Amino acid sequence: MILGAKNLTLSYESSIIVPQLNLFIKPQEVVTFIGPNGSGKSTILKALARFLKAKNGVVYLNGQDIQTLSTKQVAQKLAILPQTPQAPADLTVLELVSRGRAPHLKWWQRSSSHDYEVINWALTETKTMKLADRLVGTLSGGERQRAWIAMALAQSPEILLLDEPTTYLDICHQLEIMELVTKLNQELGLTVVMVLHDINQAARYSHRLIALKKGQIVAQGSPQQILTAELLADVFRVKAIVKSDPESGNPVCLPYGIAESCSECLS
Amino acid sequence: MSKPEVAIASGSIKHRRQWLVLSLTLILAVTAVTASIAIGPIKMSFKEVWQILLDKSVEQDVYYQIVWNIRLPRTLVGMLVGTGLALSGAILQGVMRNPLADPHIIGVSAGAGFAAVAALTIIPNFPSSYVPLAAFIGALTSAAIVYGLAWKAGVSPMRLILAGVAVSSLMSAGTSGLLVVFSENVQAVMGWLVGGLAGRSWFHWHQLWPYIAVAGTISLFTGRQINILLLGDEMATGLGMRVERIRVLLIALASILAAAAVSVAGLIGFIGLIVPHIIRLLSGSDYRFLLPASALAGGSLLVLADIGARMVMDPIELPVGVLTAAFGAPFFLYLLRRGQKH
Ligand SMILES: Nc1ncnc2c1ncn2[C@@H]1O[C@H](COP(=O)(O)OP(=O)(O)O)[C@@H](O)[C@H]1O
Ligand SMILES: [Mg+2]
Repeated sequence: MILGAKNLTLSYESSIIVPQLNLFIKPQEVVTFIGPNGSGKSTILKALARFLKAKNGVVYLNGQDIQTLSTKQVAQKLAILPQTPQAPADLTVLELVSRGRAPHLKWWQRSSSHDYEVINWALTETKTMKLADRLVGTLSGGERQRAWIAMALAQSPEILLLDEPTTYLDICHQLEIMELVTKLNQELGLTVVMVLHDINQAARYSHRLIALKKGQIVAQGSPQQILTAELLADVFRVKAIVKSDPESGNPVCLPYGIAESCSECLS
Repeated sequence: MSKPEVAIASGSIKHRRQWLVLSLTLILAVTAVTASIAIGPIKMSFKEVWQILLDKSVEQDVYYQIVWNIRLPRTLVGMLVGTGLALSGAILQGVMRNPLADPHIIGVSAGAGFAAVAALTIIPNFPSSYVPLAAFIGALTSAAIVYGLAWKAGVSPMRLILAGVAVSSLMSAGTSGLLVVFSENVQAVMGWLVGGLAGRSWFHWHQLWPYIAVAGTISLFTGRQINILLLGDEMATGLGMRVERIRVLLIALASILAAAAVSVAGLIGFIGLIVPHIIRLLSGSDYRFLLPASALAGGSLLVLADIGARMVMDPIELPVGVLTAAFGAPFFLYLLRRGQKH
């Protein structure tokens, strides 16, 4: 287990969003949270990245309580890309990616040639090298997302947390990001924990899916195991046809209507 | 492998510009100081100024007396005050991720004003040489109250701004109340409230420089931290920064800088707001350059404004705060309109 949670209870103020979550993530696994809006996906990711302190329970990173590690130590192992990251308007891609080296530098240290090597590598891996001079604010959605992933890579992490990395992208750029994630996982052995809205993409690019409803895990397992019409009706309140993709064997689902159980939310 | 090709290419354009702006602010600072010493009822050339500054053998000279006892201390106090305000503003704009933040927003000015006025009005025969101390304590207390009110499992920039506005209004109301109740003392207080450098001497310099030197030097090393903070709390945490701790440190630095400045020179507006903006327009938002360039430019602009304040209505001196407001307010509006386009 590279990352995990035990009896994790998460809340904002007094309202409990996630009760008693247990989670085990194996090294080099690609795990995706799926679930409706407000089901606590981002909240869990924030807690796994030690940004949100748990009301109860523990998050483990390599077997250690994440709150007992220094935030810098954590940053050297784990990188997170929030749902809507922000950057100053005049920041260039190169400067942004360079910020990713922060966890490896003492406050008085300047970037060494090793840091530039890593930055160079991160730009190359994400195909953002030719964007290095561009301002982050002027990039297209897909380019921007790759730039942010490059920054996360510059941290040289073992674990990458991605919160809806493909939202707002057109389908081609969505797949581009998913292919990039797969490559990082396969070639570098990066463990990836992410949130995706597109269930078919989640099924295609993840080893394991975790379906959430009201902060609780309803089902988890390989896409083949858990993606069923019943689950979709239960979690997302949609009627859907679930078939097997003849090429990959992955399940694909085709929602065609709102499930009975949702009649109350329509009125 | 060393720096990537692109790093060198992009580094050179932006970097050259940053260094250029930094050099220009340095030149501006030297020019402003020299001009401020040279200009007055008795005029001197820049060359004479530096001769007098560097050559101690002419001590009997009346020029020497004017430079060393009157104009130099006033100019240096102006430099420190402007530096303190501009650095404070730059830091707060970074911490709050809000370009409209300035030293007044954390209640420093209102607190200083209230404490100074309270001391001068309530306490009979309050020695005026202790006004800066009272103001300094008032400013820091007020900043601490603002921080305390904004605290709720951490301090969010939004809550900080709201608490700052609330506390400032309360303090200003208190100040107005005191001025009405003790209206016979208004005259003594007014000069301080409006803000100015008239009559500032080595005495003020000695009170001021330790704070600006220490807090200013530390803040020059916070550029990289602020750069990270600009990416948002979540990202900054993700990059291994202890966000809350750094934020307290930065707010403390900004409070000390502003408190020291207003305690000696009264309420001078717009320097803390405008100067970081000008530098940002010229050389971008990289705080490693923004901080030192703002420090130099802030001091320079205040000293230049002070020259103006002495000259515009000669022989009457205007408070320099009036001049910074007269130029700052239109520039501020320009920024607002410019901002709307984006
Ligand atoms: N900062 C916050 N303060 C209070 N409540 C929040 C905050 N962020 C999220 N929530 C609430 O927590 C619940 C889960 O949110 P979130 O984790 O963002 O859901 P998801 O990412 O699955 O859409 C929602 O009901 C949301 O309103
Ligand atoms: Mg979310």
